[in-house]
Amino acid sequence: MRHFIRAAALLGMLVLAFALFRSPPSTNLLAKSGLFQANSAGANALKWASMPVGLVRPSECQSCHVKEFQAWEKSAHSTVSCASCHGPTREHVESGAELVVDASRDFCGLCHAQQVSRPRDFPQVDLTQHGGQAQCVTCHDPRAPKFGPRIPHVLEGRYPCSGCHIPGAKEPYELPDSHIGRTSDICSKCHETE
Amino acid sequence: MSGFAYPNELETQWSLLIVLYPYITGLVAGAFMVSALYHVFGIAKFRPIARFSLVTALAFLLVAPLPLLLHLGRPERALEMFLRPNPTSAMSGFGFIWSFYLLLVIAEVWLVFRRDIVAYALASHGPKKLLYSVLALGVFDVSEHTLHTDEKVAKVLAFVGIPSASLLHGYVGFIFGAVKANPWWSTPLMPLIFLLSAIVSGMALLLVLYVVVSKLRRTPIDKECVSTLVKWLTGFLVIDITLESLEVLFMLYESEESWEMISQLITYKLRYTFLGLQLGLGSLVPLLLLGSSGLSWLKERWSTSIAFLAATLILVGVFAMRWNVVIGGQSFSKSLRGFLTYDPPLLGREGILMAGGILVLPLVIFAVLVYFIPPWLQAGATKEA
Amino acid sequence: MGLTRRQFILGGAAVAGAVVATRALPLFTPARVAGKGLAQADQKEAGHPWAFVCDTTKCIGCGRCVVACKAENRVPPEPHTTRTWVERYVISQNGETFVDSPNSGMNGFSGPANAKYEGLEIKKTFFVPKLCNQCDNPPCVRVCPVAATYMTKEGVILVDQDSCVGCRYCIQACPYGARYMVPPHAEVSPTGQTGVADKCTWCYHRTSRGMAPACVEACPVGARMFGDLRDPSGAVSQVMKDQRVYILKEALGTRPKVYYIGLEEGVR
Repeated sequence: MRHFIRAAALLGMLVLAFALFRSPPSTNLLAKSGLFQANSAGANALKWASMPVGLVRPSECQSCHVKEFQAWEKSAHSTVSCASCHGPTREHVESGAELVVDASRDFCGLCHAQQVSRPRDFPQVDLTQHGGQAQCVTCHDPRAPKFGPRIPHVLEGRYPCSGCHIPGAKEPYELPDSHIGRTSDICSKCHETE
Repeated sequence: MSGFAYPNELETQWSLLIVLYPYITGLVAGAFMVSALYHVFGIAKFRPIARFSLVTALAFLLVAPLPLLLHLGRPERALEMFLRPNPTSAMSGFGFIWSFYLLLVIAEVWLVFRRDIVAYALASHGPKKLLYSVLALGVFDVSEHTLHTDEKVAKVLAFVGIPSASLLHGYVGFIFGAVKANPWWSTPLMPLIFLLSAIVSGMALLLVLYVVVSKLRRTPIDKECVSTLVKWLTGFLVIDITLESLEVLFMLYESEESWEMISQLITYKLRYTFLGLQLGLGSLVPLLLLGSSGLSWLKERWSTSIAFLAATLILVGVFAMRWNVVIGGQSFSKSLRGFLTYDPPLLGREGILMAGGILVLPLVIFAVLVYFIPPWLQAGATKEA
Repeated sequence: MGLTRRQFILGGAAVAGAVVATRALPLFTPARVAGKGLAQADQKEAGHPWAFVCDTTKCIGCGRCVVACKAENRVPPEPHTTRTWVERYVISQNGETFVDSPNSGMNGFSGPANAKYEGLEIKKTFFVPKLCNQCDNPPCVRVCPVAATYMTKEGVILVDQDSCVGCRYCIQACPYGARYMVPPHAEVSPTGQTGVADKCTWCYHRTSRGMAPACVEACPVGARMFGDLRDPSGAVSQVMKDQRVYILKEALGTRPKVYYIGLEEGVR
């Protein structure tokens, strides 16, 4: 029977070694060597919560860019945060790094290109038929209160708008197909003078 | 990817190594069952392979954690499984179940081979003598009474080993079966299907190994043993096929939201590995072969060869089953709108070469084990423990 | 045999019982090493005040949310590692549904994939933003073998990336595809750890400071909303009161906290 006793002793030692392995002195040592993390959930949640904030909110941009902020606030783009067009702005806030805006047609088209899946009442246009190859900002000021192209002339003596802007007319009197049927009293809803 | 899949599904999460792991533990469970059939239920016809199957089980058991370790994103943190297991996670059970079962199998191998170990210790010299003496724990008592007690304890261990082996492999079935997110995996039948196919694969492995080893050693094959193994294998195979078919039958009948996807998975995406290998070549053909190997008018040589072929096909078929579960379950999107493809790389930590190495390693360990404690020799007395 | 058959069976059963009992013991003792698990009971007591709303009637599929998230959280740029994405649904007149999410919607949807919808008679088409639902009955938390993923008192589910072993079980268990593995050689990673699981945290570092998540801030049309349900005047509370909202895969019982306006049959 001695062999059973010795085997049992061996087993006992293994169990003891395992218990020691799971004991705090051992786990502390393991934690120090990076093989085990004894962090509680609370400590880890704190770690996640203390990660640095990246995206800059428009209210932060306001402190330096007052005029732009005031214009933007009243514009149709007031729901679009500055960072969406001006890129990740954290570095700019911290070190003054220059921000380059992508003013290409493709960039504006990310939101405003005509797509059948987009809600019908969302302002979108078929970019292959609109504005040639010009940058959108040539006619559309992103921070203007209204999003239609700016009217490059005074309005006095020129009412109604449909007197000159008729379907089939050439530039600069052209009238897009989407505008056919609209009466002159609603033009100023989207278009304002420069 | 065809159709649509969630962006994060484009990477296959569980690789070839995770196909290997249940395959290996399945072989362990099956091999152990044969040993238990002899030691606990007294199926005397299994005597020629009773110790053989124990050694096989041990060899594969030692390799079982390897594919898991290689698959982890942070293998150096693997010890956390022991230090902070999550009781609600079946996967956390691995460390404890495997360790317990390893100790059990080692203890049983030790008891069953102890008389031989003592005999070798007494008969050898130098380093070998030291090795055997250590294995014998420095005790050389092989009296009838002691051996009798050894036998009884071994029987108890074998008895406890049956649910332990079932747990070792059944919990893997639970890992898959309890994932409600995956309709190909989620079924209460999964632990049973895994276990039954494990037993089938283990028995098939033993048949193959026994024939191969006998041929290598040029010793006669015990035809009673083989035919008994064939009978048990056939029985378990029938139950296995039944369960696997039941699972699909229920899905077909209940026709849930996922059925449209699953039916395409079975009939298109997995048609070769599921219909072809798992069901066809891996289950139904072997069933016919096993049945015909028992035909009385067949020469023994033929019946053994047919059984050998059937067992080999079963081994391939069960591997295909693991593939179909693990990879198959990741071959379609949880959006139920698309298919995904997994091509295992040849090289790398989770590649085909690595998988091949992991499959060969237990055979190497087996060779080492049978060198030191050959299961077929009976050093000393006339009866095997 | 020295033992009678009865003694043998009883002895064996006793041993088996002892094995099962010791295995089952952890279920009844606190997970003292990790310090988690029991915390869930406190969380339910406190209630989970935060909620998220996605308005599919407003989403324009511009992908600014995905870009903002990747930048804010240092998410690896690969297509198969994303914390949030946008899906486009196109339902044809004869009832077929096509779904796509090119590069998670990060570059918008005006790419070449549009070609396959040409000539199709479209009945309905819309965008659906997706992110982690921060489920109140999270399958991911349940399956993590080392309890590395857990729920905070606000109901946000986080991953302790210092403990995660990278087994990927949580990724398998998530029905929504919200989780991913930080690649081993990732150039960027949320906490600097690689080979670990990651997912949307509702920008916990922002929301715990009273700010909105980056995706909510970035959305130009207000299709994403975040708020505290205890604030009756907040946008989310208003939506929950005035609009019909639904959740994804309700039948699975995960109890998500992301509510959708305008969910359509076939959106999973």
